[in-house]
Amino acid sequence: MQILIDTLLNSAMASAATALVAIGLALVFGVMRVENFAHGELYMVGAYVTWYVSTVLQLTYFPALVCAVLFTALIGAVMEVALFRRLRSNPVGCLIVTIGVLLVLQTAAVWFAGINSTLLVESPFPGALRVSSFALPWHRLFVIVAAIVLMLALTWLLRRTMFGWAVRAMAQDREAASLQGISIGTISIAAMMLSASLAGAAGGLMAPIVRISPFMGQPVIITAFIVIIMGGLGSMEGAIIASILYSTFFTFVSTYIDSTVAAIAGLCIMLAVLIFMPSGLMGRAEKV
Amino acid sequence: MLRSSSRLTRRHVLAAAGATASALAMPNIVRAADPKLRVGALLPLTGDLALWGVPGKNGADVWAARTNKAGGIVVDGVRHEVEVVAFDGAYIAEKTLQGARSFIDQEVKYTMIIGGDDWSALQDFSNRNKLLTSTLYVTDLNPDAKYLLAPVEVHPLYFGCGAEYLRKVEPKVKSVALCAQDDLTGRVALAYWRAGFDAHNFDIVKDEYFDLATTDFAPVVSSLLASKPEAVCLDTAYPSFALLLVEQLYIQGFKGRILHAGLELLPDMVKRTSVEFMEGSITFFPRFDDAAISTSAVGFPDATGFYQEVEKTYPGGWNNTSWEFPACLEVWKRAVEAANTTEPDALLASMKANPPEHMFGPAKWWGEDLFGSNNALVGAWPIVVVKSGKVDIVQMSNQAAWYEAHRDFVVKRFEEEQLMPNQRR
Repeated sequence: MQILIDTLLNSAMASAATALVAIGLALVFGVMRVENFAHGELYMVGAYVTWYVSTVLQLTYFPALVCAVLFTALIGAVMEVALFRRLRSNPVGCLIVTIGVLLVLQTAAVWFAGINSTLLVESPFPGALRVSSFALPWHRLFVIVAAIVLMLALTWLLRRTMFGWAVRAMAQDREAASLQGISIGTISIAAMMLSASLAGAAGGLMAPIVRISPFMGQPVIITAFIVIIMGGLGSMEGAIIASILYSTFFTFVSTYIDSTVAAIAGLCIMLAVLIFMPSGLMGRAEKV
Repeated sequence: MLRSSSRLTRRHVLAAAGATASALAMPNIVRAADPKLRVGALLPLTGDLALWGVPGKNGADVWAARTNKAGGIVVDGVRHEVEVVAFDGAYIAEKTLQGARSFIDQEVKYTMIIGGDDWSALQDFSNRNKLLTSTLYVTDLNPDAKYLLAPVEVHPLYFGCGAEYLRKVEPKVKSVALCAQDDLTGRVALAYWRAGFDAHNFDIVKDEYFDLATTDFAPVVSSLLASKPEAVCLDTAYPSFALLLVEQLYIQGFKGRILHAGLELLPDMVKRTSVEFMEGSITFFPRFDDAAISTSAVGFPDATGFYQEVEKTYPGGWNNTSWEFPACLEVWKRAVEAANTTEPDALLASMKANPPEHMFGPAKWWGEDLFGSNNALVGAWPIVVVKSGKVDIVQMSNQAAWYEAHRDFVVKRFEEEQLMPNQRR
């Protein structure tokens, strides 16, 4: 029973963290049609900033988390203005540029903190909630709650504000949105900042739990791409549903069988979705 | 017009060519008179394994400084200073090979690597160029590796003694769960642990590999603990993996002994769990401020002084490789002085005829049975146990004797993993 409870909790936490990363990726793809391969590195930067501010500068965890969000948002803005804007008509160029940013951020992390893989971030919620014989680690519960709050806030932002309408309009038809007076440049910057800050928030939330290293973004970006392909490219609802399905599946297979088998099975599921549901769980089919 | 503007004659061209050739040849001429003996640290100075490479290189630098201060290395009556040349192989095949090429150009006499994937990249090059190399992974040895030595650590040979020690101190413990990262290091080590637990009547209730890309270790530990083990063996999980595994064991309520190759991040483990939780954990690498080190590491001159100098030069940078690579150098130094040569073939022949003293005392060449090559220098090895948040040497164990007594268990488990010399590709 303990293992089932543990696995359900671990699944919920993995789903929450994956969803935060994946919806950011889906947002940028939906709005800007950019496949941001550096998104995993923004997650990594979020974890590094959290470590630096909380451990090196010795401010507490929450200011560090805010700094991680702000810093990654700033990187997102720079990426949009300095790179994507100039390559708006060249999607392949954008893709290559994101791979370049990925390498730059990894190297910057190496330069900044070395390859010391033992950067430790203390959780503000150490220990575990003991219910009968079950132990529910507080920080994992915190990650789940924080991710849900962030996703609800994002939903409100996209559904209930002028900015959200503009983003959705741009995602549906960029030219039509432009003709309605929506500033493509402004919305692109905002979307990129939002996307990057979600990745940074995920990195900051997970920093006390996972191994912080310059390469920690790689498995995350692979998972995020699997998830947004499963969910339907550009669909944020699809990304959330697929995050829950994929992370639960992955965690259960990792626990009950093997994590290598889980990784292979996850890719097989993505292939199956591409073959049998090419537009994903929530994506829209396009007529050619 | 063209002819009148050019003042370049055939004589000028010949003179220039001669001067260029002389200039290019000059470094070698200069080096020929250079009394320094160069040793190479071909280690990952960046990348995940820099945690082992950087302290190893720093330790080698301190060893070289101390050796030079004590008079250097005497070859044929001539004193030579020793110089450590470092190259960041990053544990990447191409870079490791690039480093080996540069070592040949710099006339490096002896090269140190971590072993594993970097040796796979080097073997052919080493054979062709007679690059005498030391590894920390005895499993790199094979019949075709002519210039490879395992002169200090014969990982994972000491794990059998670890299982024996666990049986000695925990006679009632029956069940053990094991895990390791899914790579060659993990598989070889886990095979040896399994043999150790088989030999000492433990039930292996869970045995799993985790993917190298794993970031969250909670599912791995949940899986281990579901089998209700009384002891958990973390094999040779890389330091940062081991830290997160230990933390999860603590959070998920494990109560029992933990076994791990190095417990490199013990202070952080204690910080994230508790002194009580880590108490009694079994590992294999002593600290050099342990009072027992001077009587255990008899083959390492002034071990305590060496530790203090490394700590002074690189504060907080000490770990197990800080002494392992210097210990490799110490074995080489003794062999060179005994053989009066650095020429690889003659040196190897001399070393084989008269095994140099090992870090932990007298040793013998071993390995033919399991690896197809007798190039492992096997001596005693310490078993250390965590007491009050620090590791203490509790006994010296005879690795080769353990293997001889339990050979069948090892062979069976190695065959399962396709690790025997006739099974390897």
